Amino acid sequence: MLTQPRTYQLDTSQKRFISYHLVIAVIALTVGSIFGPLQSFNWGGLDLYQFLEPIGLGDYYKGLTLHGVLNALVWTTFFITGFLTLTTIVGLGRPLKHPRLNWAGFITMAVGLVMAGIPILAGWASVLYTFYPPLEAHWGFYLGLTLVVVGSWIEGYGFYLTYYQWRKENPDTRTPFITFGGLITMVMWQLATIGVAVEILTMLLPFSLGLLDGTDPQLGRTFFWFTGHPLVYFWLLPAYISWYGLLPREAGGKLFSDSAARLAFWLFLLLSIPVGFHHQFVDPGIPNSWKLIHATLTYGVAFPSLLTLFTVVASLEYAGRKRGGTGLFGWIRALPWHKPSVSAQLLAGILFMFGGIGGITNASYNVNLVVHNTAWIPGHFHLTVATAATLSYMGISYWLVPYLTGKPLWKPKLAVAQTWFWFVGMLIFSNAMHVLGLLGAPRRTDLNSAPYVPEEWSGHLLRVSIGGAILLIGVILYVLIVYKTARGKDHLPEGEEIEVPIAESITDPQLTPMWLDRWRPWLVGSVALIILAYGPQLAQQISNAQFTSPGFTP
Amino acid sequence: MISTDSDPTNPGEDGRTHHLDVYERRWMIASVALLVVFAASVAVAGFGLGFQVPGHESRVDPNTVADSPPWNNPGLRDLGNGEYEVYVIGRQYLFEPNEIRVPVGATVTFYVTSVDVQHGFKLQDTNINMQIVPGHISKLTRTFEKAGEFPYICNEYCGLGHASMAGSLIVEAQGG
Amino acid sequence: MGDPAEFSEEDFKPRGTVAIVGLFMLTLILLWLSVYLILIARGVTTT
Repeated sequence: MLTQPRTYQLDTSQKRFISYHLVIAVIALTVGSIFGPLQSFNWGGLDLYQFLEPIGLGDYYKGLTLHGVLNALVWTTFFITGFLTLTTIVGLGRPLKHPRLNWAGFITMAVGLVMAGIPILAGWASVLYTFYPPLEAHWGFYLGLTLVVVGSWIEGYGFYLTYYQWRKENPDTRTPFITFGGLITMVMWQLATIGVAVEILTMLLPFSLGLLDGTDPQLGRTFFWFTGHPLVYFWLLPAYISWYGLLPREAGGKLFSDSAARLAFWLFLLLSIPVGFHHQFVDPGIPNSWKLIHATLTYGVAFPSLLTLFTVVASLEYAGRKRGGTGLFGWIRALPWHKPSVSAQLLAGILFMFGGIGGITNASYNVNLVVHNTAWIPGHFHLTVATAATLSYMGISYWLVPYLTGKPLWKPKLAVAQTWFWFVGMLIFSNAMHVLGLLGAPRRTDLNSAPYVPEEWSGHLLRVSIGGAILLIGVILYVLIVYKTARGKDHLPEGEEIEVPIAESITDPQLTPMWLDRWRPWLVGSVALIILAYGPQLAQQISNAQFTSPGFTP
Repeated sequence: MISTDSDPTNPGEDGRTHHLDVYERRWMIASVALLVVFAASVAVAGFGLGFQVPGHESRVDPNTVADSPPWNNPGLRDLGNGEYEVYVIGRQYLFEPNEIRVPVGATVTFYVTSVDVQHGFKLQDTNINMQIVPGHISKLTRTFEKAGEFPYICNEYCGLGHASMAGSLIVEAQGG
Repeated sequence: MGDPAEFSEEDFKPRGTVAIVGLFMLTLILLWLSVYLILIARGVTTT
């Protein structure tokens, strides 16, 4: 039976290769997560940055840049490339075709990280993770980020070559779901990052090297958001792979619908990218007709997430009922909440429902006037990248780290508590941020020194700090558990190897229609839709570009 | 190249739809219906009631825009009949002007641009919320029916002094 | 908690899921509408 989970075992060198990704990811999360709570304390009126002044980290916006770059870009990208290496190898049941190519990609990413990190720490790149021109950073920042992206591309090529060889040998077999999802994630990412690659290579790098006197900030924004929104799906899709393809098994059940899962992934490839103007609804340089087209397409990309909600919940209900849960909601209690990996992903999914609601609000054209550039926005994406993605990655690492190291998870009960710390902290933080946004509080602002903060914000600002403090405990516990597991002396007893929890599907994947496992139409459709949604307006902006804005260091 | 050839003998190719659960298909239909209702509501607000986002206005040179009219004298212009224009320049880290006074009932068109980096212009408690991009003019219009003070704040990070960038629109009671 | 033996894969109907997605849709409508009404309450802005 092809639906049976494969039992391909990774060898030591493969496990080590994936582990290196996780090591860098967790270090980035550790450093980056120090600054998030510091910002939240600042909002509550407690400025701790002054104590970091002696070590050169006393600046709110340097901290904010570190937080955004390390958490949203580095933790995610390194975790994801490592995780997708696993989904490729284990799903297909074969080693990487060219491991050295993947090593080259990984080293490129690591070099890029160091190159981007130095200017940030030196204070030469306090431009936040969106680096909107004409704010100007040191060229090392742009080149470093480019290398991180290019390295992830190279790792992707390694996945494709491995898949291609498998496909030649298995022409009629449905691609195993976790591999399928991983490949779509990578292809979507490679299409999406063309925007920021063009922005950096043709505009920002020559600009920061002094080869160009000025830049066109509006064009830069357009290129950035070509990448910026699908970036969110690059974070989310690995979590979706786990929710569809792994979590049902961890919970004791099966994937409810193989077809629906694959359809959702294809729709993400198709619709993640041609939606970027919904981040630019209030930009002055884009005609409103184009904003409306992207608003409509953004509603379109909400559809596969709504579909995901049904399929994932149904898979969990199947598991809960199989475990003896009864009644309309009794199956929820029957789920294995005592498993930290399950608890993490269930809690991530619950908060993500509110992330979805906020996302549809943001997409709603004129309704966006209420929330644009307010605290609502970071409130929203802390439910997506910092919960749906990050808390799921944490959950994944609660089986992945034991799997890679052969050591039992350190204090599983503490790990369950850790997931609840994250959930409760984020619930408080994010709710307060959404409310503050509706009241008009700006995002990314050192509010402790702002002159316009009214009294009615203060209770919510305090809740931001409380949420931040709970999240700080959550991240410290996570790093401690991962570290103690990896450095533990005990090994798993003989014969108790951990398996990658690949879920079976209720329906045989071979019965899933072939059009849901065929690349060409979906790739052609995706590229065509991008050209239709971006082509004319981008051509207009490029032909009217005026490189007149000189650079400003923040 | 990642692509695969079709397999004509495949059992899934016969156009069958029962690979999707009936409840799941109903949920898909309900999802689409809800999104259509939201889109219609947005359209009603946008085109029925006139709630619009700033659109494409005109381009300027951020290096020289402040040298010539009207931008060399930012502030309020009374067009008569209760209509006003206000020209606001954003620069690190202030708005020029940082105070605007209009009478109750004034219809004010805000023109905002930047002479350095990107800024934001958000007039609190209203729907005036604009990205300010050097080289472009952002424009929105609103009528002020009630007296009161409306702070306007920069809501896009513009550098280390960003938090202090703010001003105030004061709507004065008639004869006040 | 019932008896796991009562569970039958063939008869599985995702009733709880339908209830959850229904509640989700209700929450979505209410929260979305509340922001929409804030937009309306803050007065019209035109270009």
